[in-house]
Amino acid sequence: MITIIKLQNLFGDLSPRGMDQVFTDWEMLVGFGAEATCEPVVIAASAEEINQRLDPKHVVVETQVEKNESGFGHIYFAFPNEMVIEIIGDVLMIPDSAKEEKARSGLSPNDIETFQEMANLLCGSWNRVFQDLERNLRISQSVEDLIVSPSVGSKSALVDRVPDGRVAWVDTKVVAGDKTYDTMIVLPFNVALAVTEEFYATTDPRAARTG
Amino acid sequence: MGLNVLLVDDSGVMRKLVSKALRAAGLDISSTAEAGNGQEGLDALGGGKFDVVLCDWNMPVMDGLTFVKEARGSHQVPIVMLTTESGDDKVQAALEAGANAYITKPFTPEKLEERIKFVTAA
Repeated sequence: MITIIKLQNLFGDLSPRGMDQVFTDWEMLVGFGAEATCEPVVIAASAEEINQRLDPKHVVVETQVEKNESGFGHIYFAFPNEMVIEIIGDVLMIPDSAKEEKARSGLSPNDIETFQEMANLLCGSWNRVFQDLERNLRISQSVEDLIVSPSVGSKSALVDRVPDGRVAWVDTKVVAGDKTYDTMIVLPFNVALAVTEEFYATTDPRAARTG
Repeated sequence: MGLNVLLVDDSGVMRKLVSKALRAAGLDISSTAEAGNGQEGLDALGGGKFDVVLCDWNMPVMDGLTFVKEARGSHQVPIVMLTTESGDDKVQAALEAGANAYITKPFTPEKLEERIKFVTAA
C-alpha cells in the first residue's frame, strides 16, 4: 500500500514536471508551445481499458526506462494525430492548408519519421528532469529502443504496444493555443513500481516535488 | 564576416531544426552546408572552408566520434558535438578525440550561440 501511495505521489509530481520540460524544449526548438495538465495516476487491470479513455487515432512513442544504462521496462507516450500534425507542421514550416490535407489523408511514413526526431527530443527532456533531480534513471534515446507507432484504422497503437497485464497511466491534457489535446503517459504496472522504488531508494520522496 | 557552418547529422529534420536554431540564436551565418554522415562530413571538409562544424554522434556509414578522429588528422576547424548522448564517458571520449565542445539535445538557441561563439573565438 505504501508503495502505491509513493507511486501516486511520484507520478503526480514527475508527470507535469517532465511534460513541462518537453513543451519548453519543443517550443524553443520548433515553436510548438503548450501547457500540460496531468491527472492523478490511474492503475488499471489491463491496457484494454485505455480504449475507453483515449481516441484511437494517436501516435505512440515507446522507449526503454534505464538504470545504469540497462533497460528494465518500457514507457509509452500517446499523442493524438491532430497534435502530431501540428507539431510536424511547425517542424516543416508548412501552411495550415497542408496540415488540413494531412489531417484528411492521414500520417505518412515521412510524417512518422519527422515525429521520431521530436520523440528523441522528448526523451532528452525527460532525462534532463531525471538529471536535475539527481536520479540514476534515464529513458533511452537510442534508435534501437525508441519506437514511434501510429494507430492503424480504429485500432489503438497504445493498446497494441503495451503488454498484457496491469498498467499505470497518467491522462494529460495539453493546451496549445486555442486547441486542447488528450495525451497519455503509460507504463506497465511493474515498471511503474520499479521506477518508484528506484526513485525513492536514495532520498526523501518530497525531493521530487517541484521547487 | 559571417560564419560558414557545416552540419553533420543523418536526420534531415534535425539539420532543419539546427539551421532554424542558428537563425534564432542571432548568429551571423554566411552559409550552412549539410552532410548526412561522418564520411560525407569529411568529404565536405575536404572541399570547402568552414568556421565551425556541428556534428551528431549516432550516424550510419561513419559515426560522429570517428568523424572527429578522422577530421583531426588534417583539419583544425572547431567541432561541436550536438547529440543525444549525454553520458560523461561519451563527452570525455569526444573531447579526447578532438571535439571542442559538446551540446546535448534538446538544446536551446542560446546554448548553441554560447558554444559556437566560444569555439570560434578561441
